Amino acid sequence: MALGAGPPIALEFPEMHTFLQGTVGGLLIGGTYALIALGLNIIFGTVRVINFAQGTLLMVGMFMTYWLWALGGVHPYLSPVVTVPLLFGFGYLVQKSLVAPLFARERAREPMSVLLLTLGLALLLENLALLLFAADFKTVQLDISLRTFRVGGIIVSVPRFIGLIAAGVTGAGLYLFFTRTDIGRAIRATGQDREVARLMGIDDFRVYNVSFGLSASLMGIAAAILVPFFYVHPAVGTSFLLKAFVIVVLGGMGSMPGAALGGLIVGVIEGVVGVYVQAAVAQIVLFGLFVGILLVRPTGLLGVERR
Amino acid sequence: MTFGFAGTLVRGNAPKEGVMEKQRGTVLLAAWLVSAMFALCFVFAPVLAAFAAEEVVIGILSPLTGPAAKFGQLQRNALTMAAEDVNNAGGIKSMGGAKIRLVFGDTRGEADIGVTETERLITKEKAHALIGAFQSGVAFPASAVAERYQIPWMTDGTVDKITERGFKYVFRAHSNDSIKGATLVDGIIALSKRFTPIKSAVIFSENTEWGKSVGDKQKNFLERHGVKVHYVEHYPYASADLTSMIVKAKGLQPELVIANSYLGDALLITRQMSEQELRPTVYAAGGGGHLQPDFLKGAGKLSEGLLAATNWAPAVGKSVPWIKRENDRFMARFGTPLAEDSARYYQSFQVIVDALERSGTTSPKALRDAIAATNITDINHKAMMVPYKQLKFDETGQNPNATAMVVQVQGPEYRLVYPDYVAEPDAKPIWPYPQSK
Repeated sequence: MALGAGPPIALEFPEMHTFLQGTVGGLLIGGTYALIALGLNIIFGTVRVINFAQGTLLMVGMFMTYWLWALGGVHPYLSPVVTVPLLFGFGYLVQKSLVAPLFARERAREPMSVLLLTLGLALLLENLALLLFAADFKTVQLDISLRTFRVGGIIVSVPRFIGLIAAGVTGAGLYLFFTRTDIGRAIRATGQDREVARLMGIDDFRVYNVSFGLSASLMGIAAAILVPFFYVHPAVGTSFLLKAFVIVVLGGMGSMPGAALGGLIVGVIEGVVGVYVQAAVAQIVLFGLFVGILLVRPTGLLGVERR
Repeated sequence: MTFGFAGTLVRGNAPKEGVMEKQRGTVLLAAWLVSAMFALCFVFAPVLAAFAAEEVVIGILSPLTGPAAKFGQLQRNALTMAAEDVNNAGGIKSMGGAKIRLVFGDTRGEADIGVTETERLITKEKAHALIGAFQSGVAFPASAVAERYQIPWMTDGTVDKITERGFKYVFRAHSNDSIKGATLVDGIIALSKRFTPIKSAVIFSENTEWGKSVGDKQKNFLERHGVKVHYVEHYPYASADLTSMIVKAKGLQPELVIANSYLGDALLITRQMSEQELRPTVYAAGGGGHLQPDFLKGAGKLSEGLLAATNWAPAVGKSVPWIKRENDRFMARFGTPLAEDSARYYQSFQVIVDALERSGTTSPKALRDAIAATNITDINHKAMMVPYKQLKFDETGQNPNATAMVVQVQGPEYRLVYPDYVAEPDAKPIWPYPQSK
């Protein structure tokens, strides 16, 4: 639907209008989904570990963003200046001091203990948050929180739109990082083949530290996007983590463009199925897709088969 | 791959010895500590028991962590205060001043955990009576465990069928979904007769036990009043986004939107309704999250004019002074007023205390019979925290005289607007929902 094709068309084709509104709503949140899935994929792509604490790191980022706003009056959109380096440091340390020793101890290439460690970390952080901040639902009230604009009769939420743009910019930045910088290339090389990368002189454990840090720092950006229109709660990560798993499998495990595409697709499926059938059915479709892709095309849409 | 394997092997083996050494030391120390503690327990337990009078153990099932932890923590606070009051006043008098000890089980809001926690409270903690579990989806299976062990269970949770399984040990002092749904609909219809008619409605209901039960009840009551209910949508609990559900409803232009949600979803739905310009004449809620003080903070001006069904509101204290005093004490100590569910937990606890005083024993059968024989009509009795004409139990275990109320968000608080006998005289109903203008 073009610009300016407003109410008259909406009346003529109410179905079309609803469809577009559902699609747009899905795309808007899909960008944020993609960002969280990207975080999951960076770790999976290099460290080859499924990080169950990804949602919890998002929660940590959201609490930081909230407190920066509540105590320091920092606008959530400025908070990444603080949260991104802090989360990077946190992720770096988690990998260096918790995950790396397990890697050093275990014989397996993808040790089960690391997976359990991330799960333990998630539970630890969630319960710590409950202890520190209680189970209150915290919300940030901003001028733009409820603001919307219209494009051809389609309502677009301003904070969600900003979120989509920010996710896009972050994705583009990551692309440049992975293709143009030494450390970025080193991360990809390690992801492709750890042993060869090590033979080429790449310090794989340092690469892991950076990957983990990078993945955690992305949650700072996702938090800045979400906080203006969502709520903050110790269990908030759960709502997003499951979707991130679906996205990672859909787009391809370890594939960055796959995560971006998968995020948008999942958002749109939610939006469209939710409009025509039910939000609950959309979840069934998503998790059905999850199982189906694992069975039929385990590499996902853009994943590469690994030796 | 073989190559990689060898690499990790070499890397992995070297530090392993040292780690093992260290672990052995830690294990030994831990084992020593544990045995020491056991020894101490054996020495002191009989001594302690000799000094203490008989003790009553009441098990509390609440979501102390997880998405609904906010509710669970208030429930724990309410009962902590109530139990301290009983103990400070000399315990259960008919049992020689037996003290009450509360033991808490954290359900995390999940049915399977609720069931295992119930088992634990009964078998390990030896609870004499239980209260739980806030979420009906948890209370439903967990109360069946209590029934199996024949331990009295005071239900918190509104799903009707919890007390409709022919159980002997399961009771509910407060109103169920049918009563609550009927009260909300009656209230809306009564107000609409004073203002503008309601012809059609859409109901959003979260997809766990409570939402599923209450949504369909409301639909039936609305249809009985001639309101066309387009549909009841059971959306996924703790959703990340609900744009599509709101957009779909908007296409139908309903005059009434009812949401049955826990807090996170309540905030999301309220905000997304505003974003997507879904503007009903009446925005109402079955209870749950819409009744939490945090909802008012989070939804801000969007909450103004919301109508909600509740078992209880602090404003009840305006007509029953002791309830106001009790709520003020609670507020002074914990910083927030009691809410509907914490008031219900308080009530259930007092029903058990009342039964203990009459039975004079913690024997499950006698205690169960005493609860079944409850008959309280004195509004100043502590079990009347949620006040009714009469508190008693029918053969299913439900209090047939339980009633619900309708509150409306007006400024920073919930004001009682229906039924007329509890309505605050100075609370003038807001109509329509201000966002619809």
